[in-house]
Amino acid sequence: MTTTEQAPGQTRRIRISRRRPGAGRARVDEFDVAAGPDTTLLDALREIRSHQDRSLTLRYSCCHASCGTCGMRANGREVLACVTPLASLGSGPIAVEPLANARVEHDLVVDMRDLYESLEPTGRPLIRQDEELGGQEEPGPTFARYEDCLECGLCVSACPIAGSDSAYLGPAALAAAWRSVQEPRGADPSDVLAWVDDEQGCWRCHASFECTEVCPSGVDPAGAVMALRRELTRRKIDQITRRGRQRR
Amino acid sequence: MSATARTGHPARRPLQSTLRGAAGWARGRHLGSVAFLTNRVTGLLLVAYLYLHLGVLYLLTRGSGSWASVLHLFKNHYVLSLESLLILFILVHGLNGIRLALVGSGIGVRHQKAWFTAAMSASAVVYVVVVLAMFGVI
Amino acid sequence: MAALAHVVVIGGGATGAGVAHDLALRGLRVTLLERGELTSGTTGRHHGLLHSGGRYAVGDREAGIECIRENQILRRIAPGSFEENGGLFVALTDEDMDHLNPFLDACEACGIPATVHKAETARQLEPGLNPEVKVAVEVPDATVDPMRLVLRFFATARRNGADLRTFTEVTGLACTARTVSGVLARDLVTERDYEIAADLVVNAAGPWSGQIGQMAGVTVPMQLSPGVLLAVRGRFCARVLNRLHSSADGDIIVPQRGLSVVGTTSWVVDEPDVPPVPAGHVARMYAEGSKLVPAIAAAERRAAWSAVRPLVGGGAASTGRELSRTFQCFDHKQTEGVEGLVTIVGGKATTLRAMAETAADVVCAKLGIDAACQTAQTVLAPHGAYYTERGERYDHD
Repeated sequence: MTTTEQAPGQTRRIRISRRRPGAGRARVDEFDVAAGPDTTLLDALREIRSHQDRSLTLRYSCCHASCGTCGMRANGREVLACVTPLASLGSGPIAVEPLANARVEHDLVVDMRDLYESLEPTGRPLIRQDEELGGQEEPGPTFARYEDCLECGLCVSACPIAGSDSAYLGPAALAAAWRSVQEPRGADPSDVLAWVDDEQGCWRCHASFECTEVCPSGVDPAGAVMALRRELTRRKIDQITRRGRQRR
Repeated sequence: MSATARTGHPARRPLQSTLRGAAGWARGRHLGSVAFLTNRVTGLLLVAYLYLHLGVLYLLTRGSGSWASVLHLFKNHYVLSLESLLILFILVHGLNGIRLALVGSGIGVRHQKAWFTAAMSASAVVYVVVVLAMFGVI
Repeated sequence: MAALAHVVVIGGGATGAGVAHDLALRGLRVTLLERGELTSGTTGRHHGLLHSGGRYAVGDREAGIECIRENQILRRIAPGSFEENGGLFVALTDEDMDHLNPFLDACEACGIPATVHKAETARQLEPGLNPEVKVAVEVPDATVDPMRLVLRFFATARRNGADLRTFTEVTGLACTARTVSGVLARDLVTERDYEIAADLVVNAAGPWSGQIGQMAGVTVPMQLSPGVLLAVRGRFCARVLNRLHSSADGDIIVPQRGLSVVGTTSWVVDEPDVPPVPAGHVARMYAEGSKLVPAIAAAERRAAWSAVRPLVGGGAASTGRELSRTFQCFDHKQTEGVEGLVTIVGGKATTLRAMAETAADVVCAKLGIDAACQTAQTVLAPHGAYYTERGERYDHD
């Protein structure tokens, strides 16, 4: 039973890489699902779990790119399954794997602990207070809105540095750090800046920009990393010129 | 203050072999990742060339005779082609490097793809001119 | 004997979260079982409205009063979890205007603060509104991230000792002599079946409550009523926008990050798994949504999905909108003579704490435990704590 509006028009083959604790290498299970034009990858996976293999484990919750839990790789690309139509994944078999650069717990479920631990020190709150509605003549009240970041981990999965260097803070944490610097709310941004001013912090990025490309929520982590560098560079220059002036 | 010091425990991302991790360098599909991988590959090749170059220079210590025979080798067309590739790698790595230096300081980040296209186009043009010059066409 | 009483809670949605948190805070030992990821059953999929109660004030006074009270409590115990921009009830037609006075009276009766805005003011407040707006009533609606709010309850429950087992499916209830003594569970990861002994089992399985009840041979009077929601790209309003009329399709728009969620429809089904998105519902959402905000008509579709509301009530319903949105707690010893099982079902996400309080009171009364509810005063842990404070569940290589 699909969750599409229109009658299923075709069958798609889904190949899921499944790793279990203590089982060593992952095995690949193949399933066929009926798909309509609107069927998403998540629809297909839920169909598989409900009617074909109840042992398939995966994370999902909101079904509309808001909770960020259904992150995975489809044909090698980082996606949120709930907003990825099968029609956008070519016409052949679809290879589904869990996110990269995170420990696989089982099947498509990865350990999100590292991501959340890297976000904690940024001090970035969930709600920002800076949204202004357009079309107003005078500056109106600012509104609260959730930060764009869904904490989905797609950016970390896509980052080439995160893959080969496990100590790198990663794009998600750095983007959150930049938000804290942009909107300090009375706190001193120097703390967060000092935290990212590290060889494993914002300087470890090598500008592949994949994080920004895969982000489903418009966070632009790469831009944030460069903004952090610009800010740190500016402060350093200020410091030097100030010291220079003092000596004279 | 490192990531370790701040969070109090080391990052627990899976420690995989550098080789497997390096496979992640080639996964990116977009222009920024192409630039990233190109820079890594040309960088490694240039480092390899550097050692080769040092080896060749060593021959200088062996007297003018061996030096002359090496120079003769370099006039070989096949070797010239390789040398032209070297020029290409230097162009690509250098011009992309300028892009990285600027973007990495927060300058022109929004245009990073355009900068890469411009850098590669410039490399291509200069490469063609160099090759033509090397083979005596111009 | 609070320290020794062991309660197994079935269901990892808002209801289960509230119950686990409340019971753990009262000192009971709690094991919670959820067959998927937390909130994956139905809770995570709601449109993200923290109700002021305005939507129920006229037709379901009890639900309206519950909502506004819980609205205020949740803001206190989960600070920083809501876009507290308020909401508007918008009248577009003369028919809508007929609802204005009954609506205002009902809000007053429920204790819901309501401010009436003239058309011009309404358009200033929300430039994206249909220019034909006649009147808008401002109420304390807010936007909530459905999963992350509930995760705060889970994180706090775990801090107080609750054992949260996801990807663990309930396959049966251990029953002896009309007493539920435990739960038969399957660990979906190791594919191992095992039994958990319990002093009491709380059925908080939402749409699956009926199925769980059947495992003990009891009936849970409920209806399954799915609804379709549409998320479009673009944030067209700062506040929640409701249509000022009796509940109907597509009459609410909730801003969520860079998206606008338009909802919803309502019908009745027999099966809680994988509800469909019936033909025409998405188009209806676009049509009704653009009546409130014209720009919605051309907005790009981000996602369309359906979620099942577990409504309490056994009578025949045609659309599900006739049933009360309030909740009920069933002590099956009273209803069908089966001891050891309590079901809590119905309600909506906004009232999760109140539902849990009711259920926990019943649980403690049955177990002879004298412990007062503290959830209305206890500030919750941050949602990230759910991830950062997990232990190791499996042996990994």
